[in-house]
Amino acid sequence: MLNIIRSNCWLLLVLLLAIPQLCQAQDSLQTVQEIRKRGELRVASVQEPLFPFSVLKEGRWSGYEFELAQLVAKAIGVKLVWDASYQDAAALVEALKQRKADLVFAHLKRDLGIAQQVNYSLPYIALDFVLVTNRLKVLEKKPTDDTFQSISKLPLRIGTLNNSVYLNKASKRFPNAKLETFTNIASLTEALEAGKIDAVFCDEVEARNIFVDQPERGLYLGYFSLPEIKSELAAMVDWSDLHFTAWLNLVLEPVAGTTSVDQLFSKHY
Amino acid sequence: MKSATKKQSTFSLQWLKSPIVILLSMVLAIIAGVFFPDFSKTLAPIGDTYLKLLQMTIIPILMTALIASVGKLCASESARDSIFKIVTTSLIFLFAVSSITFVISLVVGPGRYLSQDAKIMLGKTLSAADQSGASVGFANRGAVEFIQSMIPSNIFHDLGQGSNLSILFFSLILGVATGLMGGKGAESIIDIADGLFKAFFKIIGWIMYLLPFGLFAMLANQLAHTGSETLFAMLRFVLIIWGTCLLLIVLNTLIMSLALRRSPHVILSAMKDTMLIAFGTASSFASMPSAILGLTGKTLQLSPNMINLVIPLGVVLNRFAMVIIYVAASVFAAELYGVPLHAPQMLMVVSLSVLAAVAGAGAPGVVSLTMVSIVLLPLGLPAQAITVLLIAVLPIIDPITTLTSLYTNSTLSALIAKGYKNEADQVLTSEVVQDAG
Repeated sequence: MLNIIRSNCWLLLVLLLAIPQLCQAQDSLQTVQEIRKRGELRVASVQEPLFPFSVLKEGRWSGYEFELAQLVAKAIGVKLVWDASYQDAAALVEALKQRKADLVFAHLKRDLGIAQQVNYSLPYIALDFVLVTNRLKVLEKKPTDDTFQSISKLPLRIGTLNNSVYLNKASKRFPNAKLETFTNIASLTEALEAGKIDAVFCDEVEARNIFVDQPERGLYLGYFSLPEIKSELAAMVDWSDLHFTAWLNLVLEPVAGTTSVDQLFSKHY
Repeated sequence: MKSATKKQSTFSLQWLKSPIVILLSMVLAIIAGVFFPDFSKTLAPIGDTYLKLLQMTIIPILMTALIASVGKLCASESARDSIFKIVTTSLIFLFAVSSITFVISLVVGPGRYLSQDAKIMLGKTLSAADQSGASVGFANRGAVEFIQSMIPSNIFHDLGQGSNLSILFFSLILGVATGLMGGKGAESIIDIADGLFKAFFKIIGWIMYLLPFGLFAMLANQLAHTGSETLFAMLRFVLIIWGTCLLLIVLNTLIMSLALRRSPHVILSAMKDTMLIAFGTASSFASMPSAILGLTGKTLQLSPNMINLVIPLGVVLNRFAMVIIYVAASVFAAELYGVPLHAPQMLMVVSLSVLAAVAGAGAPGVVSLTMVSIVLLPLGLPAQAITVLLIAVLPIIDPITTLTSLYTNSTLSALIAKGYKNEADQVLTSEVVQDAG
């Protein structure tokens, strides 16, 4: 008997390790069934809307991510429950873990750190990064001209969101700059206009939102697109929902990457 | 009998050159451009074809005029005096135009009292240019680059490319060499250059019959492309440019009138074709032959040798249009961004605008506008943003600034050429006028 156990110990070890995984796979297979049974798809998002991804007008939600969530709900054949009560990415990850949400659409960039705790869907849009400058402030640093080639080499004070994706990309692209972190785009814009920072490093949708309601800002703030630095937005699913992630990818596949930022702005503005 | 038929045919087409017909074509062009913009845009190929016809003769005229006139000048004893006169008069005119524009801009304030709507409009224009990646690059040239761009490594390549600055430089050098060479060989070269010059003027004479049609098509198309929103937002800037230009036209007429002792009416009558072509084509080069013709014609009878030298030089180097635009744009930018202009900055605007205009010699229109950075960056003003706005209003200001630039160059040339006359001149004057019809 002991000999049998000894000779098959590797097999037993593999079986012992596989049991939890197999149980979770079973859970995962059941997620779509559960949602169908429940009759509603619970999608979590952040409180602060970001035009044109999530738009709150007269108490009603709309926007590109809201439309994608509707698409998923329709594919399952249930109604959509859009819960935009979460503060940040950490709260959203927690909501997935605690099964308060089936899915997250919150204009979140794919990030290696967060990917240790969740599954990402197919990216549904790729965004360029942008440097928004205070036109007069950057000239105080005496560049040879005010083109991006000259400005990018200056020791600028660049503000960015307190997020590892932004910080990593900004520090690589602007090695001479001093990076300062802010909690949201509104505070970044305020600091930029007040001349407390020389420039803002953000994605193109965040950058366009700086100008969309106050176009006169274009006089004082410059916009330099950095197409070589991209980031992709994807939905988040609990890390164990492997089947649901694969199923979600099938739903998103026909629409992923088919819409440009220009189209989104002109459609929703 | 044959001769009578020929005379009859020429007479029958002469009405096409009458001022009334040309003015009528311009009025019709304004009506078409403003009220029928879509139709006017379809006229673009006709306008482009006419402009190409005019441009076809520009480089040969530039070369032959310079080689012959510089050759004759260098062969004469008064060469050094003439060169000194050309340089000093040009500098005085450039700084005078810059100062006048600066005073007017400072008094009227192109960027003062901008409404919120105007700021929104300008902000949208800049954001749209930034976001589409259409913001302009800069063509700043240092002294070394400027000198290098002047010297052609292969003159035939530069002739093919239409590089005016290097062609001008080459023609001047060839003219000087021909004049200093002396003897029969030099005379032959000058005679050939003179002959070709007259032949090209004959072609210009033919092309002038099509002027009413060309002007109509070009002006209507230009007006159809003018954005009314940008015009509204930069109205004071545009009005300052137009006002300064009109004042300079009046001043130039008075200066020419006093210097040549002719009534302003006679001066304007002699220069009317030049002014109409410059306004309609918005091209100093295309109007250059007409300016030479106007100044050396039977009315003003100025020395062709000197006019043939100074007008091409002036068109390439004395770019008064750019001086006016740079100065007004600098004051506009300073007011828009709240940057105060004290005495040192004022001096910088006036002098750097002249420097930028000369440094941009040979550069095409839009590239020339980017040279405004030479004036704006030392003042800490955003050159890229202002260049985008200048490009947006260029169609509205281009005709009047071109006209003013050429007319000021004509005045400058008239002052230099006044009193400069020799026997060869007398012959050339009558021949050229007769040939050009």
